[in-house]
Amino acid sequence: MQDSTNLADQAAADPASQYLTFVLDTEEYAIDILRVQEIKSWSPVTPVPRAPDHLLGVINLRGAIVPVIDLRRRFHLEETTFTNKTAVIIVRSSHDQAEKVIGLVVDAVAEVYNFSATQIQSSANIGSSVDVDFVLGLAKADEKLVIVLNLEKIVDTNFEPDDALEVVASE
Amino acid sequence: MDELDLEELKTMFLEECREHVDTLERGLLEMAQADQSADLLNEVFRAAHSIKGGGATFGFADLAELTHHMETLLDQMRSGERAVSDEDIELLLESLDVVRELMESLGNEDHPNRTALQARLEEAVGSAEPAAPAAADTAEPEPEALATQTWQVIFEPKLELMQRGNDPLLMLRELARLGDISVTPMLQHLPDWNGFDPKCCYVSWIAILKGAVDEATIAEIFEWVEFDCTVTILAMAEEDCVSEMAEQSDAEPDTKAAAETAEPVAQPEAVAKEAAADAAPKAEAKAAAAPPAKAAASGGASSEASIRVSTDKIDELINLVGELVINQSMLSGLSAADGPLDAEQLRERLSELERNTRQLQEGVMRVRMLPLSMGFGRLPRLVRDLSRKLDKAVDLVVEGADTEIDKTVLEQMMDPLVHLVRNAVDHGLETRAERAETNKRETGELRLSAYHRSGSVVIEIADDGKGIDPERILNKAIERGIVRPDESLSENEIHRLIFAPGFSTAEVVSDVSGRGVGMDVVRRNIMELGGQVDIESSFGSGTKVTIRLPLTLAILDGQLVSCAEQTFVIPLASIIETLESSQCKVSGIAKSGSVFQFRDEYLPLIDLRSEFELEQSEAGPLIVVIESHGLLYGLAIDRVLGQQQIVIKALEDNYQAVDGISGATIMSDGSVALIIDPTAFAQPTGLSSAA
Repeated sequence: MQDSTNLADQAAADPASQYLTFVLDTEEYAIDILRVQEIKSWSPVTPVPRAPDHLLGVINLRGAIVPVIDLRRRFHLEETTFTNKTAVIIVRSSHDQAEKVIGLVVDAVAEVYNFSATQIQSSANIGSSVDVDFVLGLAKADEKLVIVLNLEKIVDTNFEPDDALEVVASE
Repeated sequence: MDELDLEELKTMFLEECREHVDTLERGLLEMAQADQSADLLNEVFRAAHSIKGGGATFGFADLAELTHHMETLLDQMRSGERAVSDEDIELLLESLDVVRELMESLGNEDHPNRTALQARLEEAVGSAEPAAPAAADTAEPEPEALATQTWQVIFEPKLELMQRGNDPLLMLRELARLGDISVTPMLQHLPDWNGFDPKCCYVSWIAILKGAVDEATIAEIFEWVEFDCTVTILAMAEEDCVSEMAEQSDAEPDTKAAAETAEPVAQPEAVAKEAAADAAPKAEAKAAAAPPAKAAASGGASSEASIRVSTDKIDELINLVGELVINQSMLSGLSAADGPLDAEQLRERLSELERNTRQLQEGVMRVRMLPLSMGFGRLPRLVRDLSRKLDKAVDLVVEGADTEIDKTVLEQMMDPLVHLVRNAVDHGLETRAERAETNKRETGELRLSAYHRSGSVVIEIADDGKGIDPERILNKAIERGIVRPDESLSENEIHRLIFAPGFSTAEVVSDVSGRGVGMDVVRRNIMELGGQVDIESSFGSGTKVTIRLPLTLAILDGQLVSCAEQTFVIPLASIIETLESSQCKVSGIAKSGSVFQFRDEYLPLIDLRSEFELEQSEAGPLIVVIESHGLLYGLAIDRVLGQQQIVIKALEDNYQAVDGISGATIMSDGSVALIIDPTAFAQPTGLSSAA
């Protein structure tokens, strides 16, 4: 983790938004930290019938029934076994004007970065291993590139990207 | 006042208005039942008055005008100038319907019948007391000339006048229209700058008005704000132009005016007290406001959003929370104490906590419970109108109206209930002549009874009409291809045919001497609420429809079962019994799934594993026989676990609805179990045939 004084300095200098990053397979992905409600360790889910493949099931989050999406499956990455680093990031997403709470299973939570909107390059000219539809763009943080994700599309379980658009990472 | 506030006030007004309309309707119906006590008349009058006042304040001119006429008529009844006749009640009820529609259209459109009704009301008013032109409409003042007179009007608004959406300037402007006016503001109540609240009205006015008007016309202007201000109207001699308030008592008005002016001053307080005493029953009367007869979409939405709870229930909850807090602090104390934990004490506290929690849960559930009387309220009117139209004499007997039921269930059962009542009067009960022929009492009886029975609310709609002719129903069903001609059905099964989809069409009503329209819709609506509906009838002597509804939609008794190592919940109420599949003949029919023998019929067998795409293997060794809307089927599962009361949580909140699953619940270990929707697997293949 980046040290906190550094982070605070950055925040003071540049009123950019903060992003939480996590690791999935070999890459680092970022989501807007304001959308993150909490981070939990992995716990077993109750499978839901007639659900898309990437929807692992539902969990009890303090009395609320919350669906959990396996991001590896969502991005068509190779599946792996869950370890004690596996985390469930609970995010809030507004969908059809209703706010929904959804869990995302990731390999590990990484860092918190600041970038401003101008630092996010559009995804049109840069490929990644993830479907273009899920990506907002790329951003440079600490000399490496992170992929900024479009949360709305990811948590919309009825949305499936066009496989034809898949391209290989240019990194 | 900005737009937003006004909108909010409008919503409040409309909600109140619905209440008043219901009070009015109930009162009028009671009046028709020969109860013409002063209390009732006053209550009805006040309701009309409030609608009028509110209507005018919020710019619903049509509404105000119509209610004004109703009020005039009611005033005559109240003051004893006119006997209450059936025609008057009818006329008032008719007007009330228009009021309701005007209200729901939010004042956007006038009602075509309004002017005609107003004319009739006016005529009625005139016929009772032709010598009372003062009480007539003021919008068009009587042509007969009034002598020019000077009036002193002292208008003292209460502080909160403006907060109620009234503007004193408008009233003064209105006053100015009546003649030459000079107004003196009285500023002695103005506070100093620091204590000044811009939302309050600190100013009083004394107006000297010269014009050809009578006192009633002046009083009219202030009628809408009569609770929020004090208005004194004094007739003055020409030379008596006193503008000092202190001298007002010395002014020498003529005796008639003095007697009358005393009244408006005294009235507000008296009425306010009455209103306070009335508050409780009014809160209860909110009831029928929920589903207005011809509800505009906007009306329905606003009533859904709120619920009125009696303070008793809230106090009880506060008590329970108090106990919970005490218990919690005792538990904290216990854990903070030095030395080893006292297991005995801990157990005691925990069991206390469990009791608290259960009571709190029940208490919270009760908040959502409303007495059925709230929904039954609109039925007397319905029955009355229908029986008049059809020339049938009907006695509506309501029993157990204080039975409580979840608000949502109550709201959603009203349409089916109204339908059933309408059917009973329309098709069930005979006309007077027919009843006389069959040696029945001339007045038919429609009995509506409600009671609690093993965790459900049962509502029975029974009539002593002609019942259902099984022969004709069966013929119709065969004709429509619902039943094969060679099927043999019991009488009960035949009666239930009227619930079959496709049986009832408009044409059936005239053909079949029974019920018809939309009974399948009724059944579907009840079923959607997790309820059941059944019909019993004996040809010639009556029909009884029984509705069974869950007390609440939030909690159910569940049977836990397991299938492929996953726990599911099946609503206990829908389970008939559990069998071992090795004990009954299971046979597969190609493509259409398997069937098994249960008692003497073959029922469809649904394999939960394949339905839910669980880990594929043999179907489970147990069969749970489930009944849903009169259809039986089996569900193959692995094991039966315990029974438990479960709290239903919606999957839609964060995910979406799933076929075959009606929700989820949280088990004692914190894991989530899915609730199986018993209606999802019922295959409406008509009635299962006997083997």
